[in-house]
Amino acid sequence: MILEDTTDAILLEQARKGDETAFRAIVLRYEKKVALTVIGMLGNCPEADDVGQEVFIRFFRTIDTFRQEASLNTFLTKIAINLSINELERRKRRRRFTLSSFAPPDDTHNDTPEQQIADPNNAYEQAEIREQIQKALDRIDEKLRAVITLRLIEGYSTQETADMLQIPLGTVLSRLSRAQEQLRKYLLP
Amino acid sequence: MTTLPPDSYELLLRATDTPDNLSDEERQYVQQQLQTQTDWQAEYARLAQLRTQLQHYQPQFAPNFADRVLNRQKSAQLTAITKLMLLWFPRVAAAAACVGLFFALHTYLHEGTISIETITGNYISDEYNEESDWDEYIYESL
Repeated sequence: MILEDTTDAILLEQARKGDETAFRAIVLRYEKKVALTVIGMLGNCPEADDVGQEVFIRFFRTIDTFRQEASLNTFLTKIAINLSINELERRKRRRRFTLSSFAPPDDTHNDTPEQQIADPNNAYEQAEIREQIQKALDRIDEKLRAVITLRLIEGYSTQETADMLQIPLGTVLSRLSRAQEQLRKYLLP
Repeated sequence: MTTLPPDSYELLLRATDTPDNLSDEERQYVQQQLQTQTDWQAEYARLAQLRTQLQHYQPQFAPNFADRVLNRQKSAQLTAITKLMLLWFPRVAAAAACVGLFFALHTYLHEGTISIETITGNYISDEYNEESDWDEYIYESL
């Protein structure tokens, strides 16, 4: 497909003019990146798909004001982070009014993916590992999850992570250290 | 929690990110610390292990995600139009009612009635009918 080779700038220009194919190409290009942020923060749930869709809808609404001072990737990630944080806040409010909030944390997932990493070519095992990482991520505090998603999974620098989450650099490092500790607890024997 | 000071922890993070991006001085310092300091060694090993595990993490949305986004975009646009109509309707409706009332009053004052005929313009007043009769009479007498 020709659009695969088209630059972001050209796709944006075409999408601004109402070209649906260009907008679709942007969605296809950044779908995985947005999934990494949103599912990393919310877990693999129906809301994550909704939030993922909303990321692109919000982007489309602001497409005329987007001036490419930041890369499209960073811009979409920012929207994804903000919407994910909003969703987490909503969840927290909902949990206060439901009995499920009294359920103890699910401690049944004690399998460790460590040995399975030895054979990463096995698709089934990889899916298992992904699932275990997701479960471990689901269990850590959302603030820590946001930091670990951006810093260690997405690969942003500590400063970029601090800028995106609008927190001091020192807070990113301390949250990262705590997140790392918690994740290790859930992932390692 | 790490036992390393924030600066060292950040340096170690960058060392496990992209070691090539470290300056020569930083690289030397990290190597030296890793050779001599057990807390650095332990932290490095933990970070490296976690990173290896996280590399396998590649979440994806359900298939046909782009289709769902585009469908939602279209329905969002329709909702926006509906919202705009709802926003403007009370204002337009009030103005239109005033205009309608004015024309109705105008029609009533001129025609003495506001029947459907007068509003639609099909009404012929008696006065006009009388004139028509006279015209017909004159025409026939010629």
